[in-house]
Amino acid sequence: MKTAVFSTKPYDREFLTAGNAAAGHELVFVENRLRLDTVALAAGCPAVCAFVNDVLDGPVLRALHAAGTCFIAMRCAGYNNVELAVVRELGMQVARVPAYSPYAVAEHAVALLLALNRQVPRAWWRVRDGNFSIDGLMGVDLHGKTVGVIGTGTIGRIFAEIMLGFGCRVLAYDVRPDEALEARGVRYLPVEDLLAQSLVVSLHCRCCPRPGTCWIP
Amino acid sequence: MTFALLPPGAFVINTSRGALIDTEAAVAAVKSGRLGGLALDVYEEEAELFFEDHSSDIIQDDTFMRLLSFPNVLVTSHQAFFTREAMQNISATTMGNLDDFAAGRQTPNQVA
Repeated sequence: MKTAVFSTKPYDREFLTAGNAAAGHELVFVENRLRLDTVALAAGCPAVCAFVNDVLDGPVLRALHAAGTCFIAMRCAGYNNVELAVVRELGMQVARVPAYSPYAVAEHAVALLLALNRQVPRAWWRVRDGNFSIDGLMGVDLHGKTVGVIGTGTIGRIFAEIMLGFGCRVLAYDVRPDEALEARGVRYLPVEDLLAQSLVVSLHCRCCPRPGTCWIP
Repeated sequence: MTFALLPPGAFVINTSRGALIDTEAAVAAVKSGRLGGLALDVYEEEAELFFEDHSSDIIQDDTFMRLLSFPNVLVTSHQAFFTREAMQNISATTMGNLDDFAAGRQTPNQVA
């Protein structure tokens, strides 16, 4: 199926081309973001493949539909940039990638924590500059410290398990506590108590407590 | 529920969604010295910045640039998902979704 792939980066082209070897779709790679002024690049494509920052509002969807597109394949989990009411009105369809690698995200959160605590980016810049002083780069042992995890879906659970492996005390908040984590010693608390007790807080929830509010305002 | 509830010197990590943190409040918490460190892979207003090379541009987002100026703030550009395994899975699932649509099948990944 002829598919216009918007917001294409070199890595998208590499992996989508490899994945398409068996499928045999006709992929048209477009570097531009999908917007009203680039929608013409999808002319004649029954399907469009889009990413997180592509615009799929009413005017774009109508223009796509008028030019023959009826399917949107989001290559991400989120679809908050797609105006679903217009999709339904036009009889189009939208699919997404609900999960790709929970380990990738949890491990990056750990990478950020370690880099921040031990100031790895600053240390590297110093050494690159011939400055071998360590003054100002002191961190703390994470072992024995309290780590709060807000949201214990798949990613939050993996992050919590990694922190248990570090020897941290792990607190969690979620509307649905994970019994397997509780069995491993993770304590679920109201979010205010979690914040008050945690030296490290990592966010792994999909949405805010209420519309227009933040977990840490 | 504010940054003020956290113990002094706390670290906050956000690899989830930018809107989960109020960026202005984060700047104030870092500026006051209360927050030990802040690491972000996502940012409320990231759509105009992330995934692109803006190194020759004058970036207009003052709140974001203030965050970047702190020694104890670390920002990456929405790369937490970006591993070989994740890219393979994204590609395979996307091709499956295209196959399903082309064949007139319901895909389990359909949202509308």
